[in-house]
Amino acid sequence: MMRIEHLTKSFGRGPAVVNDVSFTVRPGTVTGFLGPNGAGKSTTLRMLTGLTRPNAGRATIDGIRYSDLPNPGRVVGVMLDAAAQHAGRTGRETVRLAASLLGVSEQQADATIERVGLSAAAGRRVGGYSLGMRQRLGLAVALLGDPLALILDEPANGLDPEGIRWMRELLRGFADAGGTVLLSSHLLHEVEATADHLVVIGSGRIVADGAMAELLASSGVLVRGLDTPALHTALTRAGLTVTPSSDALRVDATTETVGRIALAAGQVLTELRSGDTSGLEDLFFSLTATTDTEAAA
Amino acid sequence: MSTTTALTSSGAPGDRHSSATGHHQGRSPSHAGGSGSDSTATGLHRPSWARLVTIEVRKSVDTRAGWALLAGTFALALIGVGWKLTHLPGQPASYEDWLGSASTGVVLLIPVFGVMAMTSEWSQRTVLTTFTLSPRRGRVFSAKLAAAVVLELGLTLGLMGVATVGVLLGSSIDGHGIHWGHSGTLIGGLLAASTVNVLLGVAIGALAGSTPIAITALFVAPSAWQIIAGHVLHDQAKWLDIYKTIGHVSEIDLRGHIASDLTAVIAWIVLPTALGARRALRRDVS
Repeated sequence: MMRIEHLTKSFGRGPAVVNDVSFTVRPGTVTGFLGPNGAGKSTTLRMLTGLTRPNAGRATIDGIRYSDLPNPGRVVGVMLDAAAQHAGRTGRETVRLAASLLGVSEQQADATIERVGLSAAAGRRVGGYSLGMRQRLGLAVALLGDPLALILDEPANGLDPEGIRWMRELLRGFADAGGTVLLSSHLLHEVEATADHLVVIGSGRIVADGAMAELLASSGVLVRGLDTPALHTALTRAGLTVTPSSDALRVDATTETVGRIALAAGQVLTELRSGDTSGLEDLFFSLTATTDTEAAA
Repeated sequence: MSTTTALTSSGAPGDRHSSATGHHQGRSPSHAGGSGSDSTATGLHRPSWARLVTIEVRKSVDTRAGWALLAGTFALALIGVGWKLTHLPGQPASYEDWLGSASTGVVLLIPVFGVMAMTSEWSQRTVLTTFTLSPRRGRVFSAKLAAAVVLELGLTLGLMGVATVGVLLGSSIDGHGIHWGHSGTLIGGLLAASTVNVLLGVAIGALAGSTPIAITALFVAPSAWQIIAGHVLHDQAKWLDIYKTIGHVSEIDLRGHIASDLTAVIAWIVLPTALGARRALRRDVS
């Protein structure tokens, strides 16, 4: 369990980059930490891992501050910036160095290199790696200590579609086995496919925090029928909030409620589904846009 | 809820240890179904300081640039001795001369090892990984300092070996004897002077926090002091002349200079190292 409590950070005399941020990451879940670039994601993750000192608040992993963990790599795998690798060192040596620090055998280091699909390139210097390969290398270092939790900053950056799919399955499997995953992204669809919990940050403040399903539900249900005006009337009469959206209706309710009302009113439905990508995307942009405006005001 | 206990149970390190076996066989998120982990008590203990020093030494030589610096420095010793072998004086060889030939170029590069130890990871941004795996920055800092000294001692012993082989070869070629002189003082003096020299690099590197700035400062600042202060302050410039101090150390003769040598060491080594350590401990890693 990772607990972030009231973290606040400003650099110099500037405004707070992270402002009273609190959220919890539970075992067995993938939590997406979503926000536009510059929203404070990386600063929050750096405070969580003890690299940056917060002005206020605290972050703990199972009640212990990261920097107080005796051998943190055995508890939490961290990858904050795949580009921060020594260009003149080989991939294999990079992982073996970390293994030596973690007290992990060289065989396991090599096995982890294999696991992230870098065996063929392991003997080459990192300077010749693509960003996607560096992400895999960073992930190898994070996974090396066989940790119970992962903290990854923009892990999908630079990965090709096949790599993204691989990463998604890896993280899903890790969480399904009981692990805790916190990954940040500025791309909604990236997180949406992997995460089951979302924390959205905009201008240094948390603007949404909830289960993916809940956040999707809050963006409503989309319904289409043969007779849109009649359907609109029936739904409004049932006390629901209805918003026309081109030839469809957006309703603030569950699909079941809407289906039952349509049945009772004898309306033929052609489409009925809960909020989709565009719904969450609207949410994402509206949430972050609001805070941007507030910050500017 | 068994899934939530997995991470929570590691709250107390002892707890995790006691459940480690079952844990790693049963559900390890990263190796579901596999074993492969040699996790025992090692996972629960902080890596020893000696291990950190070993790792820092390894980091200095496992990159192309690091290896090239080491090989290049050693090559300078070989070139010095090689030159002497082809220009035998035709009289008994003095070990001091040979040691001088082997170390002339090396002495110039030794503080660079100190600079690289303290700045390389900040310039390459690998501190990000180093500090996430080893969050106690003070231990990392001291391990880097120690690694620089270990490297310097190894290098100095290496060049002594080269000088010894050279002088033996030389005397067997031209048949003249060898004048060993006070070899004990020579060796001790060179080791001590090299150590002060590498610590000068460590200090400047720690204070600058960036490789190019530190290298420039290293080659400009002490010499500039010698030249400028020498003109203005004349003899009083010795109080902050670190090169003069290194000279005294190499002769293992501090008589009459102790106060000025100490002042120079404090100003050029102790203070910048302390300030650099303070900075490294607080600096935000990005």
